[in-house]
Amino acid sequence: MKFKKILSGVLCLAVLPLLAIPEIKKAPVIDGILNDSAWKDIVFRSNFTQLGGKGPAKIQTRFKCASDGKFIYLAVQCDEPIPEKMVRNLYRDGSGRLWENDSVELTFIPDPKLLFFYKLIVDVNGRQCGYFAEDDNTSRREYKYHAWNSGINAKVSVGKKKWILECAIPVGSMNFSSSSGKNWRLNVARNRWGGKTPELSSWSVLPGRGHTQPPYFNKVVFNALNVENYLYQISGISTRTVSGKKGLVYLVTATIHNNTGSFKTLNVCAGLNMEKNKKNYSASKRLSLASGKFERITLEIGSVENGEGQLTLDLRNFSIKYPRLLKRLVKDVKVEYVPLKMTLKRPAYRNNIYATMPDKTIELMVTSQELKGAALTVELTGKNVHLSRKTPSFNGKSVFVFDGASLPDGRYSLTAAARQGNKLFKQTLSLRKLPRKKGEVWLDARGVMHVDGKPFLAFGWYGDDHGKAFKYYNSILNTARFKNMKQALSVLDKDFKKFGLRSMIFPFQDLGGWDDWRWVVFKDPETRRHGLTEQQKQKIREFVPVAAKSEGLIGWYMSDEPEVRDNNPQWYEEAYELIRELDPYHPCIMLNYSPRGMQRYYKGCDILLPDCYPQYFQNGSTGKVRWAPSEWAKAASSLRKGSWQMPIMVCWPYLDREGKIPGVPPNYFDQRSQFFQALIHNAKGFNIYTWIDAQRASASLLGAPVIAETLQKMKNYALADTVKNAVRVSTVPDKKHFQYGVKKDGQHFCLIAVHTDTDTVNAAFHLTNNFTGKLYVGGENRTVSVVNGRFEDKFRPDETHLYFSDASVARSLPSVPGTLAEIEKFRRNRKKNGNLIGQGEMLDIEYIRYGKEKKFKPGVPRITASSDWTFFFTKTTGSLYFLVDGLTETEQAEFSWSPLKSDRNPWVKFQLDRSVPMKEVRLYTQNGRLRSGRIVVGSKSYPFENPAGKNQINIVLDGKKADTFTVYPGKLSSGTDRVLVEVELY
Amino acid sequence: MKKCMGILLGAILILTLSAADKAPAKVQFKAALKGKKQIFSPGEKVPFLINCVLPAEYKLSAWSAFAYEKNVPKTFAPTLKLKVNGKDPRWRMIRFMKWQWAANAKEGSIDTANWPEGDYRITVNILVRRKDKSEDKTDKYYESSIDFTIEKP
Repeated sequence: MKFKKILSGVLCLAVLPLLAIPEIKKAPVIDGILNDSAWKDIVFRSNFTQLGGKGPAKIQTRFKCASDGKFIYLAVQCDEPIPEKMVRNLYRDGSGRLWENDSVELTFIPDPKLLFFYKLIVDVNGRQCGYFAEDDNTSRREYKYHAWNSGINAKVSVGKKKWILECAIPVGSMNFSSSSGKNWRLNVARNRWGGKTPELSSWSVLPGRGHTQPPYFNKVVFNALNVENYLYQISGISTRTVSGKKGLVYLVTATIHNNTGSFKTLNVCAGLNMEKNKKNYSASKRLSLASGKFERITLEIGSVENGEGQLTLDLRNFSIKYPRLLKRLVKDVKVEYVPLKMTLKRPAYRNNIYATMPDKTIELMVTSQELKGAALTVELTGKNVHLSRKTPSFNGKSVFVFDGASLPDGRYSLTAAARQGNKLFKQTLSLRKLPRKKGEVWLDARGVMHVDGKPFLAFGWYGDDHGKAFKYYNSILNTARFKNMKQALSVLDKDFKKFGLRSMIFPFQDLGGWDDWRWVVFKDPETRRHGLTEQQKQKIREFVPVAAKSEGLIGWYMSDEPEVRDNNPQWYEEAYELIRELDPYHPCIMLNYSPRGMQRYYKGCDILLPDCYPQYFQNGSTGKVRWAPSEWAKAASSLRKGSWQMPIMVCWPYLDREGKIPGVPPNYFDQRSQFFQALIHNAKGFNIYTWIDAQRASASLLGAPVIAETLQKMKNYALADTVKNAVRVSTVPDKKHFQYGVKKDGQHFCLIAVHTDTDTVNAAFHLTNNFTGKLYVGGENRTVSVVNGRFEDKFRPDETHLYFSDASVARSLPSVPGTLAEIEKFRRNRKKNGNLIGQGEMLDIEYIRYGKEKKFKPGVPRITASSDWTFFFTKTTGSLYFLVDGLTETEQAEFSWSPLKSDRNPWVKFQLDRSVPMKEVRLYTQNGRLRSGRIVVGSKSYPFENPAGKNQINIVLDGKKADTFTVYPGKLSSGTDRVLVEVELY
Repeated sequence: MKKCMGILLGAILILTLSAADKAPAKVQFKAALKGKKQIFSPGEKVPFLINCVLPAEYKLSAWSAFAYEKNVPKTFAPTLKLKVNGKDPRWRMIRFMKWQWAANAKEGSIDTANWPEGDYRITVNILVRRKDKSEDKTDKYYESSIDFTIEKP
């Protein structure tokens, strides 16, 4: 069977048919009905098959495709015997969740090398989302996705037994490479969720489980298409708003390149679609360009209003009869006429002066292109305060300074005014000087968090408070929805006072009196599609100011990957404005999983905390490229100074996309790589994912506290901005994605270098400060000699080195080889010699295989129990296989077993796959919970007592052979500690 | 001796000046499409204006039009079976009409019969000649271009 699948896959590659896509002269009317004569002579293509080589689709789909050289037309007919069962959630255009509805996926690949493609998803509601995907250059056939404004005209109709998609996609909305021509690859695929079992099917036969398998897409020829007609480029877009005679004018300047091989006259059209008032503005200009030439052109869109919107820059041909789109560029823009631009350089954060800020200077920069030569006045006004500065002839850029330290607390206005002729231009911004609050939090100009005036490198876990304090953990992300205010304050105080952890919590609390993590007023995503409701605002006003009084609060956790639920960014922006007004003392923090998510939601927060999970697999591969943490950190830092990162410390996912290769948690080198890449690109804090799951992985258990200690001991370097151009690096072999950066602390510096590949590499460094002397490698007990800034060093796969000019810091860091050895020793000790049922450290997939799927490999005992008190985390796997994973102690209740409260006769049975002499059973119980019981082997019973409440109970057996033993817990001490943590058999 | 040399030098100077006229000062030439129409059918005449300002002693004697190969559709020369002259690809040119001898012409037109569809930048050429001389040696040529599109109806 496997051979047949392989063969069919090979055949698909070798003998893919070349389908001619017919030319049509007359375009169909796009109405979703398909009774147009344009479709009459075009044949339906069908025979969709299920993904993963599972044979024909049970419910079929068919389509027609044609082109007139300007558009690609598609008509997709989806059989649907039970249309009322179709999944039809309401999403907006552009939502990343459309595929979760009954939907069609269209993929177009104009590049014969498969280095990029275009994809459209249209759901049964007619909503569409476009992607442009480009190869990530790692030879893994992985792609990076970007939004694509396709200009699609799509209509969907739903009938009794089928639904139809009819669409036209302008060819000019795509970019082409020099090797693009008439030969493309095309796929039409379908997501059907309404049947008994979901069915994902495709016109191209796809051996894998996902839709994105370009090498297997069918080859087509678009006879009508001349791609060379579309070989234009739009680059260097800049925009500016100026004042004109009839109002504001939005200037759009771009460079247009003609790479078509022919002289062309173009109609360059700029369209501005404003978000709030929904108005459209446009301008166009004719441009003639010889082939190979480029020209910079400016269009003036007049009578615009300030606001945010979308700019579309189209190149169209000059034609009465055959107007066509030749190139399109879409960009989110802000129209802002600010004749006088005011930038508050100090204070750098929220326009607030905090009592613990050492520097309370107010530094304002005023710039203007239009008001040069005008007399400029800047005034600072507040209660009983009026200070003024004047410049008789403004040169276009001036800086004004006020002494904020001498001002009383309160709210102030800073106004800049300039007169030109008889026109007065004024601009005002607000600032606050705040009274001292214990635990106040602010960010400095580098984005470094300060708590009570001291620099704070956030380091903590996502999830629980882990029950004890640890010196180098100082924060926690608590996603609880509290029952009431009392509980919220109690948790904040306990985590801070008992464990030294300052908390990020949701500001969105129903406080509805329930204990089950429901959101009602803040239900997500249903109530987050528009702006804040009045009820939500009221809830925020009730909760935030009170919770903000707790010294244990570090910040407001605005959302956890809102892009997954298609939340409206506007909702968060409104919430952010309200929260920062109510509580100026704590920043708002947003978690996104993608750079696209960060771009959409960054205005709703002060600190971006992206999670970049590289996804590690047993064969050494990763789901994302190993330098992805660098990309995420760069994206975050470009949007918000002082962004953090959430490295992953656990296994996710437990299997790769093909369902073949098990996932593994990151090893110590993987962990270091994530953190130090983020630091190189100016991340200023960390929250790590995730406490619960990390408690079963040896590397995470031991690695996390060591990394915390490392970072806190080099905190000054960690919080410093990377110095630009301080070092040059070359590697052998050449590694484009080798990451490096220099941080300074006074006279000293630290070079951080991370090798993001799986081979060994030699790196040659050249520090531009021409340092000569020794650099001390942190945690490695060695030095490197540097002459005139140059030295070389070797990097093992995935290795990170930290080079310090300050020996004392380098020597203070935990030993890297020592940590590796500890992890290895810990892992080895989990599989004890002679323990006949112990499995040692297990992969996540193994808990699932044994606990849920009952698929056992030799040597794994079958464990059953009278009942199993599971948690959310162990719903799938159950608790039982945590009894043989070698962890005899655990912080986490989930990784242990207790019977249900209602279970009056609890037992746990262990059945081996062979008979063995059973000499001793060792039971491990949490905090001595298990006080008595018996072990039964065959007909013999071995009672035991544990009056002293020890955590380990050894029961000696008679050594006879058996293949099964059962533990019957008896008396338990009071409390909620778990009954069994680990069971061993010797 | 000095006096003779001076006379000789002066004579040489005069002879030099009269042997090759300098380009006439202040010649301005701009061709432009006549009217707002920019899209024409094949076979339609494309009218254009000849706007030139000449010194008093010069007159416009003739005009013509040609195309640089890079400024017309690739199919232009093959369709009309025209020769493309020149080696430098930047300046390879296609002549499709003869000189039109029309003194002081203010406008002209281009016949686009059988022209393939596409965008065109056509170079209009004018011949400017001294009024008091008819020799070629004083002839000057000036160029200006017009852009239009040919599209089948």
